[in-house]
Amino acid sequence: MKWNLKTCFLCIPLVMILAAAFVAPAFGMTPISPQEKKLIPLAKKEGAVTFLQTSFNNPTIRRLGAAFVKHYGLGSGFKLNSIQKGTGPTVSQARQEIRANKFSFDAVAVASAGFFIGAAKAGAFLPLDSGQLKNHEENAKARGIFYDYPHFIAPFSYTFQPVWNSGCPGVGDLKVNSYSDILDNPKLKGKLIVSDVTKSTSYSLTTIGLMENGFDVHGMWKKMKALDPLVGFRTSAKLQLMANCEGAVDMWNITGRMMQIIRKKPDLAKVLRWGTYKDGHVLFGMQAGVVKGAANPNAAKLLMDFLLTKEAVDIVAEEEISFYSMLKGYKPPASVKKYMMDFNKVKTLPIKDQTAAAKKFKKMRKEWQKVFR
Amino acid sequence: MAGISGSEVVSRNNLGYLRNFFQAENLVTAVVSIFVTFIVVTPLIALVVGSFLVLDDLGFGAEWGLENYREMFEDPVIRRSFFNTLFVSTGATLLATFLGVSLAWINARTNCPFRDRLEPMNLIPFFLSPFVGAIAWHNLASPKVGMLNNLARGVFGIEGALLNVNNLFGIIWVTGIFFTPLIYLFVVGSLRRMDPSLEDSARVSGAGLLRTTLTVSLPLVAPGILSGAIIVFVTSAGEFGVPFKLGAPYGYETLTTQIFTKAVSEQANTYMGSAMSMTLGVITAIFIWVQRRIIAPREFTTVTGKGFRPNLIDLGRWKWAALGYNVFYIFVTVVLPIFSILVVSLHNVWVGKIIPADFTSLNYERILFFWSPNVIQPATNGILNSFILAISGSTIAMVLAIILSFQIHRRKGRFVGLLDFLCAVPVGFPGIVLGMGILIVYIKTPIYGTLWILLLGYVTRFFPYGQRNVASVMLAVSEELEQSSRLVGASWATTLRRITIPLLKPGIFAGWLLMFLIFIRELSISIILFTAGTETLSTGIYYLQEYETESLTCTLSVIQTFVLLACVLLFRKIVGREALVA
Repeated sequence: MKWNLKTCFLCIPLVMILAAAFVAPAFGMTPISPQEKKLIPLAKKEGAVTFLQTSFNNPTIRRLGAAFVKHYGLGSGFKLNSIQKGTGPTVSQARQEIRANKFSFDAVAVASAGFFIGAAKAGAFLPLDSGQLKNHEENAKARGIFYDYPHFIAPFSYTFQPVWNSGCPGVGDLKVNSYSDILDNPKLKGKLIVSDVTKSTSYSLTTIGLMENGFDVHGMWKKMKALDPLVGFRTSAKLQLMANCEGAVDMWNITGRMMQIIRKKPDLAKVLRWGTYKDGHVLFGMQAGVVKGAANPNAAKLLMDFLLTKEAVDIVAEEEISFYSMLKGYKPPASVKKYMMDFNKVKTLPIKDQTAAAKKFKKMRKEWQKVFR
Repeated sequence: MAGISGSEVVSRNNLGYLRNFFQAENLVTAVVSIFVTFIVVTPLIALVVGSFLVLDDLGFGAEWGLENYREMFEDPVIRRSFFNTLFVSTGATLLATFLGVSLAWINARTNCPFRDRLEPMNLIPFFLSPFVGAIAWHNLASPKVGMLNNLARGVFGIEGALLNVNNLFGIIWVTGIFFTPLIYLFVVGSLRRMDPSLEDSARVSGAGLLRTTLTVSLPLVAPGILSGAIIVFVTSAGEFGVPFKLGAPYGYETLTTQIFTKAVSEQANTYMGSAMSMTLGVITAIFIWVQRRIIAPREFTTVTGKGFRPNLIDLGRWKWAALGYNVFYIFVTVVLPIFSILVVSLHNVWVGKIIPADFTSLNYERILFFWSPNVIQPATNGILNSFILAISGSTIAMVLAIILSFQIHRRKGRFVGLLDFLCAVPVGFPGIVLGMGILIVYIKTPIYGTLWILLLGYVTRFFPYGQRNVASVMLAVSEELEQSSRLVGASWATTLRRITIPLLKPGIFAGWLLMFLIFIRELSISIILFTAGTETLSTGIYYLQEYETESLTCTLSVIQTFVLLACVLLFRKIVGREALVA
């Protein structure tokens, strides 16, 4: 190759890209993979992406949207639209739109392995070509987080923790480190909130996870029932019950939701508490995929990769706190680290076969109904 | 006819028939009739067909079978929800009937002070959202944190809970008090038009006030009471918002909450939802049939239309008790609920007690300041969308109502019976059931995911309300005026524009207004059909209730309530006092 002025000019962009690739990680910026680079101009052209999801509240989506646009230089006109629903309604909407082949969203994210398996079998997802997934594979495998690439990935995972309001009568000195701290505590009669497994995939998955790992779930239900509990459903609604002491202790909630309430009313920090179960936690993935027939498929694929970057993971950690990434070597921001679980110290309870787990829901829910309804 | 062959006569007759058919009048009424038949019948057919499809385990395939019905009868929760629905509907009907009849009697037949001023206020609950009523009463009478219970504990030292609305009786209470105006409207007119000689005869024969009222007055208005009671029963059975708030979270499911759970749970089992909808549909269809065929015709034989003005009964000192009773009703249905949601909305996070130091307008900013980055989009969208749907929906529904009324009561013809029946069907079917049918029919069309599908749902479900309003005025106006117009050469459209519509104005306006208010608070259809960007005020409240705080939920509830009250006041100002009174 002959070096002249022209080749030197041609080399400049190449050198800049290489430099950016080396320098970016040093500044904490995730390098953009060749796969993502291919998608950027196509996503720009599409100008928007609509994300049907269960987990990210308005402020999180706003920050994710801005960071997504900035990270890929999509331009100020680009819009990240979000439809937030509960797990049931999300799966329901996705399922009925897939059946009708008519979509009001591009990408869907929900902790429902059974739904994703069925939808993938029905050919509902566009195959992904992720440049970021490789950084997550090792941890995901180690913690049993289920995904089925290239049909769908699992950018985040979560688990339910016990949360309580120590300001409510009779629970001032409560400490929860195990299920028995709640179930064998008669002082909690009339103060407990249990979760309605018939209306939620993630509660069902947690229950099946406990069953698979040898917990006497039927015995636990009987003990719960003896405490005359309130049966709650949505995490936010249960936290509201707890904030005003209609129920003082919620066995399964998300600490991130609790922090969001504390941010609105800081003096609640004095009374709202959370714990971890030394018995173990069922950690499950929030699967995500891009539907075949999406109006903005490239922007949606790019979003899937973005959710795997450190930029997105930081935002989710800061805003939602309890949605965990499997990003290799990831250290959460100091401001929220103390509120997050360290899975090197907490026992996780794996679900061996997600398809089989989904098929157990119906029977388990009928048994649950016999006890609680 | 000499010189014209038989075949020519036939072909000229055919031509004439065709020309006649293609006149504007025929075309418009035919198109509207076919359109109405289509929009009413197709969702119901879809539900019937869907109920025989059984979803597979992974939720993407289906095959024919009776499994849904089998599961429906075997599932103890569905079975219980069926009986709960019957219990709640019966209880709400009894409560609404007692309150509605007694209030109507006080206002129409007694010398209760200020009754003219109280009457429009008695009707206000009808225009407010029962879902918001349930939210308000939850905050007032939850056992542990309800404001009234806190007050009882604080002031009277009562231990435990004085009131508890988080159960079937709570659902009955809220549904009953909010549907009381329906009974009131059915009864008060009959009481006012009652022939006083019948009561006078009883009094002359020595019967006292109570005996005369129980043995003469009330039996005379019994058909009106029964008609109202059936409407309340059917409406209560189809009510979604109240049991969703006060029942389902505490283990008291009704058919509507179970249909919602099945259809909008992760299985998206619309087929199972369809089978359950059939049950609810059959119950309501039977009651509507009884009302239309057996009870409604009797109304014309028991109450004469001679325009009597019955004597007012002097209650003596009891008139103040009657006033107190009426004021108490307005207090528990309007004042207390509004107070409760207003107070909660002023707290950033509601912790079950009023903390004046925490009062803030932040929640209102998050919902009303649509330019702010902190705005909650589903709530803001809901306000705008509800206005769009209410204005366009009630206008379209009224156009349909006018043309259908014209077809049924003026032109008559061979399909009149069918059209009249079709105008009754959507009233009988609960919104959630019709919403499901509409979803199944239109999900594959371009209107899915847009405001158009909601508009179609609203029009399909509620156009009969407009049609009834227009028909009642049309029946009172002689056909001669329109016939004279046609005789002097005015076209059908001109007659409609210059004679019929001006004469029907009061009915048209009342119908439009009624639908506008119903659309602003509509929940049952919207909850099934809304997607991102097509939220309504009520689905916005549902969203906030599920994913945000009680304070934000109450904030949008306050906004919806004040929008409804402002519209009622505004329309009364425009139209005059006669608007929105019985």
